Amino acid sequence: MFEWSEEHDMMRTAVRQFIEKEIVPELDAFEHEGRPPYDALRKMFSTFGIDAAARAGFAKRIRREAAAEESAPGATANDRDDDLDLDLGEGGRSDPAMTLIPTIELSRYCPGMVTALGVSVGLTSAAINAKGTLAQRQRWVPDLLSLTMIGAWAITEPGSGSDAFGSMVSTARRDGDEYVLNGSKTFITNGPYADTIVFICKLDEGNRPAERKVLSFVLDKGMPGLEQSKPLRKMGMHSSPTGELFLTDVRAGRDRLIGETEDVAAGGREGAKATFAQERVGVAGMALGIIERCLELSVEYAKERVQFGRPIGDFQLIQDKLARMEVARLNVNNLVFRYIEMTQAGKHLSLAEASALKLYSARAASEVAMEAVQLFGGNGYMSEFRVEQLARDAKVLQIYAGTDEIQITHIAKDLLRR
Amino acid sequence: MGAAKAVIVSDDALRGTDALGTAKVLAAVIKREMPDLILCATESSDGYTGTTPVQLAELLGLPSITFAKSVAVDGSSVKVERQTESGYDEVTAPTPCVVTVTAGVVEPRYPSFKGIMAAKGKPVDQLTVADLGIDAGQVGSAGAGQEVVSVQPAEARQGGEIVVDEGDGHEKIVAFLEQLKVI
Ligand SMILES: Cc1cc2nc3c(=O)[nH]c(=O)nc-3n(C[C@H](O)[C@H](O)[C@H](O)COP(=O)(O)OP(=O)(O)OC[C@H]3O[C@@H](n4cnc5c(N)ncnc54)[C@H](O)[C@@H]3O)c2cc1C
Repeated sequence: MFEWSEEHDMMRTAVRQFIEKEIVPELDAFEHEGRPPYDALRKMFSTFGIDAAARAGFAKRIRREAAAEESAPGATANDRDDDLDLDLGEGGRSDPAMTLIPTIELSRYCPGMVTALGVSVGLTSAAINAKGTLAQRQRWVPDLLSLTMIGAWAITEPGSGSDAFGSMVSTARRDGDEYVLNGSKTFITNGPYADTIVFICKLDEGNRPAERKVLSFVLDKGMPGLEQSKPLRKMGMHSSPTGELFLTDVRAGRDRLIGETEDVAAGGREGAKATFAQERVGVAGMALGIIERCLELSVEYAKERVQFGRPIGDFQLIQDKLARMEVARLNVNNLVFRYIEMTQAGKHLSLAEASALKLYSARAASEVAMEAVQLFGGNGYMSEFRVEQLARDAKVLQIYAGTDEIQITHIAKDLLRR
Repeated sequence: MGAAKAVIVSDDALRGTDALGTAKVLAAVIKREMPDLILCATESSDGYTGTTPVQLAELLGLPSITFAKSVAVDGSSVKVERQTESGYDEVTAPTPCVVTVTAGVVEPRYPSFKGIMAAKGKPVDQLTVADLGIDAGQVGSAGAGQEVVSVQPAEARQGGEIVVDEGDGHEKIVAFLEQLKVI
């Protein structure tokens, strides 16, 4: 794949028109006045039939699994954590571009919306779908995929970030048929508003923390003992509410323990690898949207802005910036195309490849956006010219979904193991 | 956007066709399809004659309602709010009929992803004038009762006059309007 297909281009155009008409005029409300992004995202989903297609895709998948289970019992249980498909009816085939296109297009203006969206329909629903029982999947996943419910996925704690499992202190204790959950989580996307929360903690059986099993529970907003903070103030991604969660003796039945079993593979530390891969690819899509937009704005400005009697695009130092931006755009675009084509061919990115893609894309987006600010001079520092917001937003791509340093560690470990 | 099929009439013989010729071709296509409702825009943004839809209705022997700002289909009739200078008239017509709609009143909806994926599979018939049983001499410049003899750029608008208000702005406005004999 070296270019978007005709259908992809139609989707891109339609989604871009929607965003420019429905979201861009309201951008200040989302970015500076604290308006939550969910209604706008829901409108986008219903406009393009993404909610219905996601529900239909989920139902189809459950049927397919039931059929497979009948012919080969047990086979599907461990092979479930790949992407959920949109069901687009006849002529619609599995195509990751369907989710990447809204990601890229939204990121041109409002990467925060993608963060809020991705955590809900990507991370949270995938965590439940990959390891949940059939009843749990049916209870939560379709509502998350269709944005009927907003999801949050909570692993990070004040004392545990990159070393998520090692330093985790949140606990679950058995109490009769139930569990009692305690702990606090921070930097949780959608935390302030989430209806459905995946809470990751350790089973405290009186053993040493390092030996404890990692369990995941699904919590609903309003459960006694669960407190969701107000949005935290942050550098960028202002349209994505980020908050803290505090759990004080929250009682959860076994029906909320994902998989309804404490016997989780690798002590629960494996996580859903495909989910991480998917998240990293999502970051590449965001990077592409940011880079495309910064480059467009920069080229326009380089032609228009006159200093020393010439458009600044005449100066070689400005040309150097534009050329580097274009190289970054081509590279990130190719990585995204490669992922789409691989997925269509039924192949998966390895985790190390996904890390490489995420590392490169996130750095490229940050660099391009900061260079765009530089190219715009004082105007670049002013909100009105938009590259200022994109530069603040881009920075976090190097921090969440695994920091640059952690991606490097994964890539190197994989190389040295060969 | 949800269309089940499309028909395109493409033929060199159509070059130079005037509004009536266009209506003849459209009427021939529409007769093959027998739709319940024929929706047209008010006018094209190049020729601006605004006559094709009513000519079409006449050729088909159907009622027509122009300048609809809203259209509702109710069983075998359509109910239209027809834009007028002072408001709107409520007009009904039995189907089949021709309705022209005003710009900006209805926003075309976005195509759904499912619709986009299905679009390629939808039939598009490409027809020629001969396929429609129309004699080529009736259309194109040969059949046109009018001819575009030249195209001129519109005259550039003259720059306006800027009046600076130095406390006497209202007097200047009154003087200006008096000069125009408006007051
Ligand atoms: C906007 C935003 C949204 C987020 N959303 C969520 C969410 O929805 N759910 C959730 O659970 N979390 C979320 N996070 C948390 C995010 O995943 C963590 O911030 C991230 O994993 C880094 O952890 P940390 O902040 O504790 O940094 P630390 O792990 O403390 O890292 C500090 C620095 O040390 C470096 N470092 C750490 N370990 C190593 C090492 N072994 N070698 C070299 N360098 C190292 C890091 O790369 C970094 O530069 C979000 C964060 C942000 C900013």
